[in-house]
Amino acid sequence: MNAIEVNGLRKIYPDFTLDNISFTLPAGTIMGLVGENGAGKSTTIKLIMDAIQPDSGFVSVFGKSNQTKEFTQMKQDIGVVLDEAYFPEVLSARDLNKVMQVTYSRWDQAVYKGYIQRFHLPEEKQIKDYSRGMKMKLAIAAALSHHPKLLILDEATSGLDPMVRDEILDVFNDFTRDETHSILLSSHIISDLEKICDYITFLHKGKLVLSEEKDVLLDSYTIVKLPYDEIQNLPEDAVVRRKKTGYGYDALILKDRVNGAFTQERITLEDIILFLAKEDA
Amino acid sequence: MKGLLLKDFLVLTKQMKLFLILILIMSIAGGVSIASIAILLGAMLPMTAMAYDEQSKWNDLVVMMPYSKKNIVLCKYALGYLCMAGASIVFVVAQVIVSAIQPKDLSANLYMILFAILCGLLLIAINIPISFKYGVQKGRIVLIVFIGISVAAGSILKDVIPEIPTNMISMLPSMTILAALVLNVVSVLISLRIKQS
Repeated sequence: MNAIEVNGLRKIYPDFTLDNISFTLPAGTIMGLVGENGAGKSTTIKLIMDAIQPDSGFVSVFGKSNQTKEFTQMKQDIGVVLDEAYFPEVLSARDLNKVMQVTYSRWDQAVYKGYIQRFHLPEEKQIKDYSRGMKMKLAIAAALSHHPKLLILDEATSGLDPMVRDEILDVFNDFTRDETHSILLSSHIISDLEKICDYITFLHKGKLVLSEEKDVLLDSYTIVKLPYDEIQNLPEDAVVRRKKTGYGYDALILKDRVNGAFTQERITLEDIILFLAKEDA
Repeated sequence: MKGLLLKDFLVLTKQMKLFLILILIMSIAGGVSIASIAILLGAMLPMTAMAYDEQSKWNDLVVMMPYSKKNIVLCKYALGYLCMAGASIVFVVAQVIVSAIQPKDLSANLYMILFAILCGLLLIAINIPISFKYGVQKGRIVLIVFIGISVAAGSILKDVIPEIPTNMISMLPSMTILAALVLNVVSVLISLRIKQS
């Protein structure tokens, strides 16, 4: 069973088009949705959650279309965290507990209070007096306390300091210990995604660049550094992107198209994404 | 929808404690005209709640939760009706208690309250779809323009429209109630359409 299937999704705005996006998030896995600011990550998430209507294409969640009436009830199985908490700021964590209790049929007070204690969040304080990190922790606590099977996180770790981000990534790792749990996590902090994701979907200027298993990506590509006059020694079909530097060229190449004669650099997901996002120079 | 209403009540009670106490005092002790204003203030509370929703960007989050757009729309109408009903009930109960001590005829006051409720229903029916469409801030300007045009049109048309025949005057209250109800149903349908588009 797939947690999410997105097929040919298109949304046209006057100044931006999300064009023909397709990917699949298998149940029990974590997918990173990566792309620059304005690449279409949040639009994709809104389309998945049926917050906005697509111009074409379709989405299914747990095998059912998100255009059915039952989808509203299916949201009981989905926890969502956006880039900010978006809770009314005059409420406290205790008030939020009351609201969520009548919102989610499987709301678990004990789990919620557990997270509130684990994250050291004051229960009585108004949310407006929380720091940004505390607000995000509260949003994560709320998203996890109704026993969701799917977590959708839109830039949930952006703007947080590395220690808080690490703490939050640990929570997500705990969540996926249950093999029926899945996460779709959008971020432009690629190092976070590299740490925890099984799949990477890369959007650039509203278009899908790739959607692939992270390990396959890391195994498929490498970087070679060559002087200007040696770049032509690389087979043409091996070079995916190249970048002129002060000393020669850095080239992103497909590993299986070259032999070991070229010195290959250790590659990270960030290298691949940055290369793919740029035009050849 | 219960969760949405609870959220709105919690936000309003925390944000506007003094204002709500004022409505309560006006309903109990202010006489019928002050109580009528309290009812109209109650009818304005959905817009206040919507303004707080906009401020906290709650609208971006609530569409991710297990609430249909219908629920989100109906909640704001229900909030207005409940606030008006609350102010009316407090006033009526206070009047009944007072009249038990010092007997007096309540029917004129009750008609006045009914009139205030109808005005409140009209306010809700016009205000909520405008606020959904334009947001609360811009919506206020649209509302003022709308009222201005209505008043101007009324003063121009008052000479053209024939006078109501005397035999129909007795039907006027029930027709006004019916019109207020129909207007609210139409308003809900318009708001739903705005929210779904």
